[in-house]
Amino acid sequence: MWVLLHACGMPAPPPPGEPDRGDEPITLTALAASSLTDALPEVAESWKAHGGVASVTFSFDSSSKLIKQLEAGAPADLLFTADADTMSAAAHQGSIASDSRRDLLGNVLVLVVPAGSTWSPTSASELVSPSLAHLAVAGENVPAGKYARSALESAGVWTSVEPRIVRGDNVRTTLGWVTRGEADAGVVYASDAHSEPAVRVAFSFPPASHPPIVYPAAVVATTEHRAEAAAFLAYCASADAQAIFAEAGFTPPPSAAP
Amino acid sequence: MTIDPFSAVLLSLQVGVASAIAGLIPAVAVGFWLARTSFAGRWVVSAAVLVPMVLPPVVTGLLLLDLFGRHGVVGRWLAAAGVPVTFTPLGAVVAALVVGFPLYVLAVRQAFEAVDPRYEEVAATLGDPPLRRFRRVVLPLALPGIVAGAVLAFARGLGEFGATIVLAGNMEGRTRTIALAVYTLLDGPDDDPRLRALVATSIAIAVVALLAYELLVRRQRRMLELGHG
Amino acid sequence: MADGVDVEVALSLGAFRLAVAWRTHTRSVALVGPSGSGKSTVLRILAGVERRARGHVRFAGTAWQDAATFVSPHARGVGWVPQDGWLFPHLSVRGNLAYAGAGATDVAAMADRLGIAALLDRRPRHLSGGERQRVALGRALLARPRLLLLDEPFAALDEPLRARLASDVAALTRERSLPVIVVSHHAADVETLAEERWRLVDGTLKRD
Repeated sequence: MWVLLHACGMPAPPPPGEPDRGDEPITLTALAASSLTDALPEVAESWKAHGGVASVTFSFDSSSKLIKQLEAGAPADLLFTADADTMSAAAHQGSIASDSRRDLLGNVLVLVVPAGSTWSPTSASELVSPSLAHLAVAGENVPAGKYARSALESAGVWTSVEPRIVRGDNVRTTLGWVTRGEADAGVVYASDAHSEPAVRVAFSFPPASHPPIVYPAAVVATTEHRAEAAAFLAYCASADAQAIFAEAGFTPPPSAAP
Repeated sequence: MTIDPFSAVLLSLQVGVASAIAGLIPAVAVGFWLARTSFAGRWVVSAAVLVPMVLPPVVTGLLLLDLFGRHGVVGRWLAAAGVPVTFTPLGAVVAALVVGFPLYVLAVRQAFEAVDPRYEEVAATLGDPPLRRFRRVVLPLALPGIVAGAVLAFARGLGEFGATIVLAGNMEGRTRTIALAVYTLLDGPDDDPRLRALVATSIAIAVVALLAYELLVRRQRRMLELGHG
Repeated sequence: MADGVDVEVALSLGAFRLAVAWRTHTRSVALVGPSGSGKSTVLRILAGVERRARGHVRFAGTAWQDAATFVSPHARGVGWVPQDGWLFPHLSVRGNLAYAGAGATDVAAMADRLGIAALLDRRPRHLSGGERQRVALGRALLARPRLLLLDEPFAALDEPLRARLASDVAALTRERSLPVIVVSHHAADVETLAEERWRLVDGTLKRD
């Protein structure tokens, strides 16, 4: 078949398993946590413009679902998660090249209210107020949901707030409730709040009130484009890319030192 | 509050049944009209009824939020009257009802179309005005098909995810139906026994519902054949 | 029938055309003619279940249909026995017979007269064609109509029963002075039941 195609004068696809011959445009597939939906594609564009050797396509979902997809054999080259535990689970199941793992970003957990809201709590302890009929939060099994619970528990308001929590299936739904005034407030990442003009940040949760928010990234073990994937990862850590992430509301990764 | 599969199943059944009952009269009214009218513009109504079937469920949910939310066109009056819709079991019922309505009307319409108008004509000449002959002849003959429609709407509403979560909020113990509970559990460990139990339950309910639907449709068909000779 | 039947209607449905101008005072009348000529349609127009005809329909001095009015079928007091009977499948024979409100004694008497007394608790599904025909007849008669319209009423019956029933119906309608219009292909039926014969050809009615 390969010979026939070659004889017809068509460029034949490289037989599977062989390294790239570098004469066709490469597209990398990246599985990434939902909160990176706006920023990562912009970074990929910037990489291309600055001499990046590949295009990147993205599949965004919750971190836990992403590693399950990998475990089920989904073809991908890169993995970006929204917490360390999920990335460690990916390492444990052998889905990533452990030596490629690095912490890329951090984030801040914030409380948002509708932009025109008259109620503006200044700290988590005020959430016991009856002004809060409903608090929009992520699902209890995704990183954002877990961070939120920690933060509320630390502030001692969890038992009071829990019955009023409504959980969105993704941040669009969660923010959507706040922008429409259905929920009086929401707990989201600063980067999410940044992308939605119809909400306003009331306050940030103290970083000590929850496990550090970190976005690890790694190359997928079964990638066919190891070098290119590593190159993109390196670019994500570069000053140019970090500036784009900062613009979108992310922070540098929390320092490893305790 | 940890994820409780029993409450999810119970809630789903209650929401499904409530939406099937609530949708009965509107579905019968619209289904009968579509089956019998010769109004030239009826295709507009027919298409309008099908809209929830072609819209992405989340979009349906957002539209319902615009209608029934705290600041929604209808919702603000309901909330003022002490009947909030968003983030309540009522919201789950509304979502299930709207999403199941197209199938409901379709099935009910078929049920009425299967009843030959000749029966009504004969009943008329025997002295029954329209409402009486509808009650004594048309309705009994269409009934198995109407119930089949209710079962279908129940099953569809039960399985609804997108519109339900947007309108009702996935609140444990209050609005967390089977579909929402499964979605939440999917982010947890794969071997969670609750996940398997809920998936198995929802499949079982769906199978029973579809069997019931088939049997009811066949029953109506059998009743109507050889009825007139 | 005082003043009798006075019909002048036109109906146009696709290729089917009917233009009937008909007056008769005779109590029992037969409509004959080739299949598909519209005989059943004439009965439907008289019964009030065919609303698409234009013109006027008068019976015994009452206007059932004209430019200004249309009297609904349930208000006309017409007994219509269409081809195939159309018994209500969800009711028993008794339920069908009593549909218009006749009491148990009347129902039993009619059932006896038509030879279907043994079938009262059966469902229409379990009746033969001839049995269904007789139930349909009984159902219409028990409604005490002012005008009886019969569309091939004895089609599913075999000869001896057919002749017997025809003379029974003739006797019944005479007893009650009940005007009857019968559509039939069967010469003997027509003889027994009708004093006058009208032929429907090419959409028009002519005395035979």
